[in-house]
Amino acid sequence: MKRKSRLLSIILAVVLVFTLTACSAPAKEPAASNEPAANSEPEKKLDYPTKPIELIVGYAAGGGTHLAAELLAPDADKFLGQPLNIVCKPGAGGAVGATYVAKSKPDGYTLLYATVSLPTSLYMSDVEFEQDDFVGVAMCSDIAEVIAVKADAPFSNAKEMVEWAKANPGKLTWGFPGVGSSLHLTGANVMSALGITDVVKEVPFDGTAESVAGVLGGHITAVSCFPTSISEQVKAGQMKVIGIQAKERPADWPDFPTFVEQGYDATLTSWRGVFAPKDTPKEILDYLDKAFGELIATDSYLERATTLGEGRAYKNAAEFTKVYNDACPAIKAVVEKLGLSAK
Amino acid sequence: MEFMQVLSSFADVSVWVSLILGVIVGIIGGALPGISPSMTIALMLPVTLYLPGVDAIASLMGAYQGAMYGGSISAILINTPGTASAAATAIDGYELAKKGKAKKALLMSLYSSVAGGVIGIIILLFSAQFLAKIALKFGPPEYFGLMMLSMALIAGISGKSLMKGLISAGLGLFFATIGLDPIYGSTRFTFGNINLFDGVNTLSVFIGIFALSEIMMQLSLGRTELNKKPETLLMDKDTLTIKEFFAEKMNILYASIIGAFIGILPGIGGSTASFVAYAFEQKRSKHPEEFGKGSLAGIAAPEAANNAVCGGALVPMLTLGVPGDVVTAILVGALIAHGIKPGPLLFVENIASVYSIYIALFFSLIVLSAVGHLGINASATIVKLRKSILLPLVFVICIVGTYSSGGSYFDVYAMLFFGVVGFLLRKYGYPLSPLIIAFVVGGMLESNLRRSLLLDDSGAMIFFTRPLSAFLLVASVVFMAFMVHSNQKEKKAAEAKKEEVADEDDLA
Repeated sequence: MKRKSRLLSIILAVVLVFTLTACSAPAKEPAASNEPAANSEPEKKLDYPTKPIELIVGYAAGGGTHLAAELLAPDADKFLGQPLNIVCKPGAGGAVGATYVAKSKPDGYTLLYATVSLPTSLYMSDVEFEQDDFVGVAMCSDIAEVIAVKADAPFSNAKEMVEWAKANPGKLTWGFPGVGSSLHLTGANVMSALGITDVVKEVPFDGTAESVAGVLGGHITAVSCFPTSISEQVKAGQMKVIGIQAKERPADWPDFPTFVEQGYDATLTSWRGVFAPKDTPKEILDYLDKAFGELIATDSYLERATTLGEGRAYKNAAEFTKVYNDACPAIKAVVEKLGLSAK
Repeated sequence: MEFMQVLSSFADVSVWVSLILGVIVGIIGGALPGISPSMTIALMLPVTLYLPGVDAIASLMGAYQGAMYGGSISAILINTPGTASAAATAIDGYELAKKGKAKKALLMSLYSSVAGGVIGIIILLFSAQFLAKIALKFGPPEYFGLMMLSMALIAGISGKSLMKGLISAGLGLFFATIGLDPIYGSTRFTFGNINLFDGVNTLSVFIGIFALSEIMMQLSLGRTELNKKPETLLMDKDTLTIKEFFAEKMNILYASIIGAFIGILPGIGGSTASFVAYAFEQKRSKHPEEFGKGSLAGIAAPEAANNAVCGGALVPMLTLGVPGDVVTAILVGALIAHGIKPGPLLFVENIASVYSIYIALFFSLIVLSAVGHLGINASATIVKLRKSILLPLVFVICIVGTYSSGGSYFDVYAMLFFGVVGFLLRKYGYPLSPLIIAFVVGGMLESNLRRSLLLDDSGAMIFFTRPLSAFLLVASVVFMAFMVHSNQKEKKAAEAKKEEVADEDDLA
């Protein structure tokens, strides 16, 4: 009897350890196949990396951003020399994870996987990090947002929508997932470019699913979302796309007209990519720049990204840092216009 | 006959291996506090990408059903709900375990889960298209009406004192308001701490209120009680009889219908479904006084409901391309990776994949009943541990489980805080369920109220000009009045009885 309960205590203890490690379990898989001795960088005597690198995701496990970050993990050890552990620290629209990385040691072992919401949280809430606390390492994807309506809506393109909205002030309602989400900002950017911000109503939902259901059920007029959320409904003739927000039609969605070609200057896109804390040594940044560039360039990455509907849009460290720094003032303007500014 | 073709693809051994592994992983993930069903599926996803289509679907459906049941294991044995959906199961399940009837409770949970799952599939099978149309009728005002109805149910499970129940519910609503305002995005009660921007972590509240406060209550029993050897004799003879199970057949049916229907509505999910089913059953029951003290009906209702949610949540995903909950949102990604695009065209273009999802879901329940049964004897031995060993372990599980849900120490501190809140409320006789239900429902209640008011310029009239929301609101008022009335009648009856006893004493 006594032995049995001791055994049970041990089993419970093992369960505990499992619970603790399960959080970072997906990232552990590449670790199993990794031979720590294989260092593919003989030309340089850089003492980095000597241990696994953590990539912090500021969103919940299983969400879109987490799955996009997971795309980097499978081959990471081949290019980085060490496995990449994806760690989710969800909260406050990514700001919890960003704060964690901003405050971590800038030694290249703690990186951030962030979205266009990173600049948003700078202006929307009183966060403990600043714009130049981060430098870009690699942009992974760049997704265009669409404005879609129910198939029987009284307008079919941007121009007709503007006319209808002006003729029926307060009647056009548009939904998006969460105040200050990237889809809120990109959608608001469209409304602003169309010049109808004052005659439409914003309706924040708890998620994209609810807002798409809101359009299908006729409870709201339009939705701001990513193309994958509504492409099947469009194919089935239940919804139609008013416009996609990109400089030119994305290769994956050749049938969706851009706002630019309809004569409206709306080009704010949602990017995702890897950042490092600002004081990370230059040699390490160069190493990461090269390694992530090669990783993202592989066919297997493209294949994984395509099946997820994420696509690939690579930019190197210098280019991505510029994209980030350019996005900051643009997003600041949208945030202020929406009256969401914290400062 | 495409259906037969799809069915024959399930004759493969590898499909069954995937089903069994999926169910096992699901049960373990569900049972571990801190690993939610959605996290379990997210962890499995990368592996399933390397499997053939049918195997992948089988393992994911197995994990989905397994996780929904698994949460009840830790809820029953150590009063720590492994998943949010199992929180309602902890109320009566743990009481039964304390009485040495852990095995009975686990068996009830397993078979109601399986029965609930089957009913969920039947509903999905015969009325997916029709139900999807109804789901679309639910806009923000209708969601608000439904949430009001759920709140009205709270009156029913307030216990003896309606006032104490309302105070407890008020606290729950208050905790639900912490975080970013759902419409304006301004911060509320966050004290500038970004960890509170998304509100209080649900798991911190559940684990703190249920498990930690229970540990604190137990500690007050004193050393002799804690070191006592648990009476293990009851354990082995304790099993669920067929009669006991079938006594709950109507309960399970109603709970499954509630679960499937709530599952169909995007964004509501398992924890609301199981609480609504629990409260509904308590009101329907001939023995409402047994609820909260170890009622088998109190396990059957929430467990049937949360497994029926699976079938329900697949309805909008398969027919509209809109996932019904967090798990189905992740499933969409998995299905797309296997070339299945959930959406309105799925039934037209790829009916075979719809069939294989139905069949996988059904077979996963058969596997669940077998695998679950084998696991029960092993897991139920936990109650053989004496409390002086078990309680410290549970305390560590509380901390580790809360930490692993979001990798944040803040959530652990919040859990400790809610443990103290739960302890104080228990000490002074406040019921805990109203707090939990109000906390679960509060966020959606508020955001849908405010969202409705944005929809047009009629203000609050919007709730009454739309027939469905008007009906739901009137129903909740009627329900609430009925509850208060029957509550007072019970109280009077109890008082009369007391007086009678007193009179008799006087006579003696």
